Amino acid sequence: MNPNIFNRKEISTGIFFNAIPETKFKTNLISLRFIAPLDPKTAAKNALLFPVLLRGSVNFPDIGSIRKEEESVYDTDIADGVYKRGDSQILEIRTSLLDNRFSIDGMDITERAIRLLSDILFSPLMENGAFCEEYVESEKQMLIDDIRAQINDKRRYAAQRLSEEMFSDDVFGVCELGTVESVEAITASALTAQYQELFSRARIEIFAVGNFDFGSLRETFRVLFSHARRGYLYEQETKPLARARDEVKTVYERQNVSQGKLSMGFYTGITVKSPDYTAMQLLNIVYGAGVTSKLFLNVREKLSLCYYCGSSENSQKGFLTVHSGIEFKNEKKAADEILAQLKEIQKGNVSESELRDAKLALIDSAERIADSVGNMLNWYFSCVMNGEMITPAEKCEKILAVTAQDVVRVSQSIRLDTYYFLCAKEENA
Amino acid sequence: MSDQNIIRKTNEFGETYYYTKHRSGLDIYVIPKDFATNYAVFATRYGAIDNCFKVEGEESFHEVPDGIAHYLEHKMFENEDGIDTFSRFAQYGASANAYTSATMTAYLFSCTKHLKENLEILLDYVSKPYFTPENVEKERGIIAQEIRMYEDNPGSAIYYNLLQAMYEKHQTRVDVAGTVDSIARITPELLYDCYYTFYNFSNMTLCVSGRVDMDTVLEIADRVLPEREPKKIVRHYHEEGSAVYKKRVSAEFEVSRPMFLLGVKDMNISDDPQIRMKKRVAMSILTDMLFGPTSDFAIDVYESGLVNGFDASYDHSFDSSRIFLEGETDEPETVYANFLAYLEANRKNGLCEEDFKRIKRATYASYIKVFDSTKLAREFTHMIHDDCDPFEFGDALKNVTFDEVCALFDELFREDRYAMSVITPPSEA
Repeated sequence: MNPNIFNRKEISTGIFFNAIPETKFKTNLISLRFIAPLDPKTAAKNALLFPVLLRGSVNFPDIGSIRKEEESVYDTDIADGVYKRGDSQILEIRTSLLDNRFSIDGMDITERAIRLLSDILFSPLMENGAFCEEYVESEKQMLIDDIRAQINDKRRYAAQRLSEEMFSDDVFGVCELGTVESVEAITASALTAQYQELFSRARIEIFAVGNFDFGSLRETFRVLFSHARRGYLYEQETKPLARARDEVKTVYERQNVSQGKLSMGFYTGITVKSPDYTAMQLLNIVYGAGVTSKLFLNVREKLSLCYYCGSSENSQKGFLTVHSGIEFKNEKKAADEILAQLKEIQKGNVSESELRDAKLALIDSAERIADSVGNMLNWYFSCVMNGEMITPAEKCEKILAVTAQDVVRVSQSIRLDTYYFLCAKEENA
Repeated sequence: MSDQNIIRKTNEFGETYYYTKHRSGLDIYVIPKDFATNYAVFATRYGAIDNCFKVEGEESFHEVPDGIAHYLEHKMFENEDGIDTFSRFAQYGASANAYTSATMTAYLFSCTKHLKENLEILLDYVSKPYFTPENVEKERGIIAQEIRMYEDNPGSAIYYNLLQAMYEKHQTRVDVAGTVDSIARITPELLYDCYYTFYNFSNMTLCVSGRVDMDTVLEIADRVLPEREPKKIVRHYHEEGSAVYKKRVSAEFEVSRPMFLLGVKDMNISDDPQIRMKKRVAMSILTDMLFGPTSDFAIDVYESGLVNGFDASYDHSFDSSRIFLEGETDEPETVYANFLAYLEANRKNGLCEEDFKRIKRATYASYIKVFDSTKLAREFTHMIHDDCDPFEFGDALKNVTFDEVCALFDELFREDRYAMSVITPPSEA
């Protein structure tokens, strides 16, 4: 990847077109990301918006015609996504399309795919000045199902419950899909108003990754978005976690499960804005990310307490979590060991080989970015969101500069904040 | 060094692979690709279905506990010098992993640097078993927690419940991890017995993709792989009828909404890999025509709200052939009745040739996309283990005709071959 050819231009107020040229792939990617504040009042509406748009447009009025057009255009895939990033809710519509050089019948794949995408985004099927009622109601039901289905996968459920409990007094605790009640309350006209608001006020980051005529693609998007009346942009700022709770918040939840899920949330105080952020990433690897970490080697390999026990850090809010699946009766043993391993780092027990392996792992992941359109998109998206243009090669230099003392130093601020255990109902325990 | 007979093959969109049979009996495939990430898979034709076997010349079959192939995979990471395999890879920045399926155990790594060193570690550790009573015992707790984790996972339960309803005797019904009881019977002796039977190089493949050439791989294989006498393995798979064993199976889980997984059983699997390849391609297209995203069935269950997350998939290889339909629904029996009626209507009206053409092209596009990552070493390995030339899928796809797909439709669907597995929320509120 040649970082010099990454090109970014504002095509309308708060709307940016980012070009990432790369010719080695057979698949190209166009992603539009709308950045909105994470807010309990709008989370559900925002989450519902793209699924409703994907139900039908003026020229492709139902899901069958949209899907058939995608299939006809060499299996183009237009999909939506909803993510949480710090205190923002990110709404994505992503188009994955085959490169034109593989067209066997002369079809301009890019042109046809963009035509479909723009119809979906800008010409939704309307009735009486609002989105089609039937589509709104049907997608509401599916979103409600998805929210309720969060309980199905216990591993993810425990992680999400920890986050909810840890951030119960913070906007970050808001679920990016909204709540069942807030989805139920949405009307077709309220959703239509939110659509106009979002297209008017959200910062919009458009990314094209792969092999395109970028000049003409940028012009296409400029013209498309020239119809959007841009208003005051949303105020967008993430408030990092200020400190750990004075007293650890402890939550036990009981369900009919055969394995306990132990989740712990720690305050770190270090976000991507901090000069110590790379040291925090390395600390996370040494402590609990991956198969050579202290948690894996001790909680799993030495004590045989679990199949998985791992940590991850959050670059936006400044916290770290540990998740593990264990026998109910081993709860205390596992929790003690998880804390003891953190204590080891805080005492200064980080070996040169642990640090070297962690650096190699982080460098390896930076070097892989050039191998996938999705990774390149995520890398440059982070850059523009963090306001720091850095190439993977520059990141590698930062990684190499971190010392064991740096890792130990950043560990000093880490405090346990929230403790969550999903366990069996009393009668089975 | 290269007195080896090396075969080079190129496909129509410029991808190349090299193949040779190493003197150890190992099949080696190299797929050069100009990507930063190198990917290697060292695999044996040995999985959960191989629980009854002998070496040619032996009088009686060995019957071993379920879950042993998977247990063996875990134990391969142990080394006589006490140095953990993961840390060996970590010092060269590679991320390593392994997995066991019904028919295969695969050891893999990916890395951006030190390909030679990492490849050497891969070949070395997989060719040196080291099992002791202590290290085998230690693993029992870890694997028991892995099994418990899956016990709480409705997706895993619904799948194995279905296999155990579809198949009465054939080992395809065996859970890869085994059960807490079956793994209790695993000893170092049994592990060695399985190891020396199935980890014979003539039963194995190595597939490497990235910035690599065959000479490099051969040099390492020559140096690292020990001499082992080739063995001919005789596997006994239990005879299985064409009808399903049970039509219905259900279980209760703490899920938000009932889930179904419907299976169509097919026991007509040819011994000729060419015929299997042709059938696989026809089955892929037929599955999409009938139940893919643009099928009337999928669109109807979506628009009516009957099913959320509907998906269809198929398998066709030497050990199993089947089609699966899945999703979440309040009314699994209505889905089943609609499925029967839909097939009946298609039988009466015939399949649509327009759909065939569109889906054939889309399938071709998605086949091209597989080549966008060095991870394709995994797809290659699966093809090779089914005795297929990895490039032939593309040729077979070009040659498949509408009539062949129609003939397959007539052959596959019979009411005594359908089984459905259902997961429901607990009956007490």
